[in-house]
Amino acid sequence: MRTAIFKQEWKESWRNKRLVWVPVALMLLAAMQPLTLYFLPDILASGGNLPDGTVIEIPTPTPAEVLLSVSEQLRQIGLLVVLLSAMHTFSQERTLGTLAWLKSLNIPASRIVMSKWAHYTLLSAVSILLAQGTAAYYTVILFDSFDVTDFVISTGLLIVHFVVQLSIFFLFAALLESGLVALVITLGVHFVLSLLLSWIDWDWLPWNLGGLSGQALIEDISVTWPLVTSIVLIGLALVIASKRLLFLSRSS
Amino acid sequence: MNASHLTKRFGTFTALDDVSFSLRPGCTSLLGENGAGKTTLLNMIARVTTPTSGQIEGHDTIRVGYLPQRPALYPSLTPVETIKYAADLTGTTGVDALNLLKRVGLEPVDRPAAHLSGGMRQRLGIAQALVHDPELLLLDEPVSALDPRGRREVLDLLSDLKRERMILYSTHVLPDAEEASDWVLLLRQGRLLMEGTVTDLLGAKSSIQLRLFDDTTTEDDWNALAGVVRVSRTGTTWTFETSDKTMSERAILQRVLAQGLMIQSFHVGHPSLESLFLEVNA
Repeated sequence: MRTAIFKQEWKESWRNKRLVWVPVALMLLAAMQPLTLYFLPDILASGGNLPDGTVIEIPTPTPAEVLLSVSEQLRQIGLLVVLLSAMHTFSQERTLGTLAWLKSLNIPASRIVMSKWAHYTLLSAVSILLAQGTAAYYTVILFDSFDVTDFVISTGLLIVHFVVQLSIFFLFAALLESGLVALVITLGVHFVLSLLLSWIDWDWLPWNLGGLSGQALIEDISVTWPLVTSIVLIGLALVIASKRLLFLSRSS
Repeated sequence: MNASHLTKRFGTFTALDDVSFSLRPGCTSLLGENGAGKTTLLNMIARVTTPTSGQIEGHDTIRVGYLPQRPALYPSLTPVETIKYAADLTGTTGVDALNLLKRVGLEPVDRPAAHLSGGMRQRLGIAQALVHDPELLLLDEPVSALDPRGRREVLDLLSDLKRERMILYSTHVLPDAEEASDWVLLLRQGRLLMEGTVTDLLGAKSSIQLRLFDDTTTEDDWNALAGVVRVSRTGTTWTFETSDKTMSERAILQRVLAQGLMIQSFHVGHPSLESLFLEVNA
């Protein structure tokens, strides 16, 4: 009974192929970086229209640098893919009337929010693991081996970063009628704070986790405070989303 | 279940204004035109929205089955999956999905809800509302998307279901209210105008339609007849809203004979909602 909505989310994601296209999109993103970096000299030579005799010397990136560029791709385009996949999670159910129907059955809002959040969190975590696995595979084959511990820490931080962004999106999606507006606000907050953090030294903010997930590949980092504030932020976002979930479309 | 002084405002718009009533065993119809506040009231009783002021006693502790105006269905689920999901959500065991679908007149087709017709979706919505054997069944315009045969079947189903539970269903069609309900709540512009049995509500009121061959009469010929409240004309058809069926029938027919008119058809039916409202307001 308690897991009914959670199971329904998986069924719905399977039927609309979300379970396939989200991991595949992230894996493609992850594979593209090592492949592009490896074949870059050939690409430039064949398509660059350079005069005969031109010599281009591009230093071969280290495996850590390759994985760092993968991490950046995932943090930008990968995050957009995950948020797009979740965009209609509340707004569609509001339009269909199913959220109101769940309320009429006395199902607590917290169960609705947590079931959906757990689904998207697991989906994005598994997608990131598959993407990072793909990146690791091509990096080892085309470049060299790398420090596994650093890579595991980086992957873990990347997952937490995604969960933080998903939770913020869930907060806005629960409060606002439009999933698109919630998505734009989440990305807007992410963009503005990331920009601010490049000037201001507030290392403890959750929005640092994305950058730290990349830095973990090349240097020692301290993540205690951003992790603590991330957990607090996730908790707060979910509590407010549960308390203020909009069940009915305002036009109904 | 008792509702007292329910008011709901959306900004400056008052959707419900100081509505109080008690819900009785059996079937109650919530009668009113579009925009009268029927859906707002049903949403409140279904716990989907809260009143701006006033309160409802006794709806928190009972099992409520709710069919919104547009059935709340998951587009990718087949009818059987829809029933099983509702059973899973409500923790109801031993639900015979096929039997329940059969009861509402729906074949267990292997098609997702998105590909069902409006009538089939309506029936599936009713089945979904019945899964957990609710003590109170709330239905928002349950026959609006159905053809005449489907409408008859659902009204028969309501007559059957009302023996086991309280039913509150909204409609703007007076004959539907008369057909299945024991009690009527009459809403207009957010206010409860009247409540009572259908007989109380209709009294001796009726709507008479008279169609004539070669109609040469004018409105003046029909005004001031005993029992006639309002007269209107469409082509050669005259419609009389009456406060006293017997008296007005006699007066109209006497006038027809006196003027030597040829009757094409003469039909006595329910009064229109509009004339009921006028009557109640008067």
